[in-house]
Amino acid sequence: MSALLPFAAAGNGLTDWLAGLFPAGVPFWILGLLGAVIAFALIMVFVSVLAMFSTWLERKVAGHIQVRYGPMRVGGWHGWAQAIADGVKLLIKEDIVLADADRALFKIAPCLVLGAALAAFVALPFGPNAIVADLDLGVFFILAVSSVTTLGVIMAGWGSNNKWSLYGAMREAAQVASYEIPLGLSLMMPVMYYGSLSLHRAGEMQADWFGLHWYVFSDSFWLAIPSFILFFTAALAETKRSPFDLPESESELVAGFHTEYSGIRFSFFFMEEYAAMYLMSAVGTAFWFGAWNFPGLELLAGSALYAPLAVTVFVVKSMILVFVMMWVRWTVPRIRIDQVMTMGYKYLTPLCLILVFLASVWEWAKAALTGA
Amino acid sequence: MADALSYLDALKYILPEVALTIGLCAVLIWDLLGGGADRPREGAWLSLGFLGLTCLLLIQRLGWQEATVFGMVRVDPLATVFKLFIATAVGLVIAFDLADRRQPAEGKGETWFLLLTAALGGFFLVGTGNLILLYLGLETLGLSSYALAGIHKRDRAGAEASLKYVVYGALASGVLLFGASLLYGMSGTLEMREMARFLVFAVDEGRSAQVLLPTLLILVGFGFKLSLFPFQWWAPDVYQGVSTPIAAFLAVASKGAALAALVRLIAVAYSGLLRLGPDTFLPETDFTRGFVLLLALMSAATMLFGNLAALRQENLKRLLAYSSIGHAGYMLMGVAVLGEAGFRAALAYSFVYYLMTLGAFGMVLYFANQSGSEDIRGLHGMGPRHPLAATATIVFLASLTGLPPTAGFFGKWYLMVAAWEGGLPWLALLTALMSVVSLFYYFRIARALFLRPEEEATPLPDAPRTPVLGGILAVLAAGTLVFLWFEPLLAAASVGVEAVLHW
Amino acid sequence: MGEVLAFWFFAALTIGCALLALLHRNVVNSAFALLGTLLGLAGFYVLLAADFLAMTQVLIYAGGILVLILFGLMLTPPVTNERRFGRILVAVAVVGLGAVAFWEKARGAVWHAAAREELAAPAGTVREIGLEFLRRDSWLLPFELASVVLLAGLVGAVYIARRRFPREDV
Repeated sequence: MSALLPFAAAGNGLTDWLAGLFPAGVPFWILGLLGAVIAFALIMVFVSVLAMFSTWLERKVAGHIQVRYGPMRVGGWHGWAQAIADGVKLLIKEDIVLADADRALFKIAPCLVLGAALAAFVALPFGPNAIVADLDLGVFFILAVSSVTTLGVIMAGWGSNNKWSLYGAMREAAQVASYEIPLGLSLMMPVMYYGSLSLHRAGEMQADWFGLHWYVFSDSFWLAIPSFILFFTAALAETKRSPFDLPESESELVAGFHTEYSGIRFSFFFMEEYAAMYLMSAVGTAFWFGAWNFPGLELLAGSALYAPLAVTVFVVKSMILVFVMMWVRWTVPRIRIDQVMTMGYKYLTPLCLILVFLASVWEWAKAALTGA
Repeated sequence: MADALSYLDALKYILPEVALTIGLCAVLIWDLLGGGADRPREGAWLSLGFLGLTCLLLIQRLGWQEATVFGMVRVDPLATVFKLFIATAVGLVIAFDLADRRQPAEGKGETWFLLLTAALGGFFLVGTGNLILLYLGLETLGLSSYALAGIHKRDRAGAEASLKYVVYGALASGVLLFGASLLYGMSGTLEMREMARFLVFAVDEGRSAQVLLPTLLILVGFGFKLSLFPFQWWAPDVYQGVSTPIAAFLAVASKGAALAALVRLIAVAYSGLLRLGPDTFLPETDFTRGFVLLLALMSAATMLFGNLAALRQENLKRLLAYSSIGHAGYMLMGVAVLGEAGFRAALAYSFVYYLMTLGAFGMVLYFANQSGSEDIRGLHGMGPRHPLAATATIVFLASLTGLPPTAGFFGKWYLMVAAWEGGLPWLALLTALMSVVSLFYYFRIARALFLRPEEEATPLPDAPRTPVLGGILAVLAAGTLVFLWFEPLLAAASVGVEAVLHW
Repeated sequence: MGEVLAFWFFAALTIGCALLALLHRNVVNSAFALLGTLLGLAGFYVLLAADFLAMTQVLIYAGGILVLILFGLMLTPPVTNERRFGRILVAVAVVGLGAVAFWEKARGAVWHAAAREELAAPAGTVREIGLEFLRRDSWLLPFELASVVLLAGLVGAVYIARRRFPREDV
């Protein structure tokens, strides 16, 4: 089983934790399978709660930006139970599969989309010891796995046998395939800084010094800030968020690729959207904003409070970025598809390449000067 | 050895490639800055300048000691000579393209860029003993050729030709890759030289069938590039569909590079299974016998197909496509002998082929410029009006047929001798027979030039004179006619083969 | 045990989806079926301890090339009157002949032993791959040549796909 080592490396993965609980004779693959089940359950619960909270937050943000309150009634305090009510409604709605749809594709698509998004959570470090598998590939794994969601969206658009859906799918294919390039390139700057693709390693390297080791505050800050802006822009496009929400732009395409979906299948797409938003925000947090570290938090290291607090810090930081995404959605108008493509190819990609060049020179010079 | 060389020393060995790479970047940037659409000629001069520089650097490296640099680039006489072959052929193709008055001005910058890229691919293809680099070189050459074939995208025939070429080419290179990966899986190395030991070992152990499968798969890839018999279907359609200069490029530069790479692959990776010259016979194994027979049958089928199919062609480029298939069969005959004499004859013949085929395509271009037609009918009555070009044409045709005073005769003679002595007398006889057959269709061209009355539609009103093209044709014809250089050529081919065999 | 189970799972996924891609009447569905094949191959790479290769396979093939294939298929008119039976026959014949021809050889094949030992990579291959790509006597030159290949492909594709001279478009 040594072959699987790179996929469950070094000391803080879920499987290693499980291995400690069982006698030594239990084969690795049973532990792995068990770990996978537990991981899936954990991630599923997290994403469900996240999606519910995010829908509520999104509606509140939208409301306040448009000078209204948003949901106020359900549950009492600021309509906190609105999302739960919505969820129940979606669950008990009729599950419609169109007669003329390609039934197999129509049914597989939502599962593929959500499955890929959930799988990417495996490599997210929620805290110093809270990671399902500390992959050596880290962020590359996240990029690769979440790129499969594109295919799910195309599948949904094609399987629905609806021209709006297909338009949405085509836009998705063009947009996401294009923005994967600047997204990957913008991640190169932090990767060069840390010398590792692992998000967990990035978190460890940003510890101590009261936050001064965060990438945005480091000696490479002049690379960190533009690269984060580029990353965030590309991430908005990757997650199909406004102003890049062309695949589902409701004013032209009804709801784009998920026009024909209802009930639980619709909620899968919905959860995927928030899961992807959180995922990108979490990558941004882990690489640029100190992961689970917070000035002063390291003083608690060793106490029982440390781990839960670290996880809280990470989630809150990520949610702040999710909030920014919502903020952008309700303030910036949607741009045209050709503008989307122009921006990706003519501006983001060249800018990323320039930054990659500068960063490689800078990191090389730093290493050369310090003799590392 | 390579380890002892410093980085700059190693770079010196691949300076021609570096110059070419700088050149292709320069051409691309020049095109990007707006030169392409307005002043296509300047880009051609830029490309020719860099090609010239590359050639100078190559000539300078002719006498250098053999070396392996960057772990996998082999700099030896065979590689250097064939790099010169490719660079000069590409230069002539660019000159042809400039002389072609019937092409749209569009896409010239891309054409120059892709031709230089193809040349770079060819450089690495002929100059490596590593399967990865060999494959990458083949792909660089192939990918550029696919794009070059489709460069006249508004031309339906051109688009169709390009598509056919891409689809067959992708399939062939995929199959080649399967073969290479099987060889790697069994031998654990990508270096041809280390692979040789494994192959001998495997055949000795009686596992020759296991070696044969990847060998066959690799032959498919080369068979496609060389348009050998079962893989030649694309050639006539593609040659006819693309513009004449590009067809000349595919027929000469691409084929020459593939032949050199094939010879190196067989001479190095299969060195333990070869018969190195007449006096050093290794014990013949089933594998060697089967391999020889396979190559010989392929060669025979290729000659038969090319020459017989050429008999009934009306379009000159299509005719030349079939004729170049036939010539690929002749060259493969030399390879099939699996010995020094055969390799030497095949490589020498490829140079003869270079002169006369480029000349023949130049002839098509010259007369198409005058008559606006690429059919044999377009040549009617052209002989008396263009005596110089027509005479050059006769020389090329005589050489392609293999008539005595020309280089084509000597090339074929050495090939036949090599085959006869290498135990394939039937193949040598077949070559002679096919030469007689080829006389019929080559003679048709000569007859059209001189013995047919001019038709009323022929001359274009303001048919341009293309003195440069005429000059190139004259030089090529002179080269083809004067056979004095044949002994030195054979000696050079010998040196090349020696370098590879005794690596 | 686990490895063997995983192997057969990935093998079934790869071959099953490949057959589906081959035999499906609708060419778009065939392309979707390819997803399983590509992911199955990625699974093999994981089993072979090639983690970077596996993820590259997913990123490039499933997330990139397959999307482009689908994009291309959706832009072309569908083929409805395909002769399906002939394709199946060809497929079965090719696979059958290939299997028969190769089985005898594959059983006797001695695969290079060193390659197997090297599989036990301690952790991650990214760093090693990166260093090998930039080491002079290793894969530096092929790596650089690959960029020329891609550049040539890019220039060719852009040129052929471009409508007219670019300045008329704007």
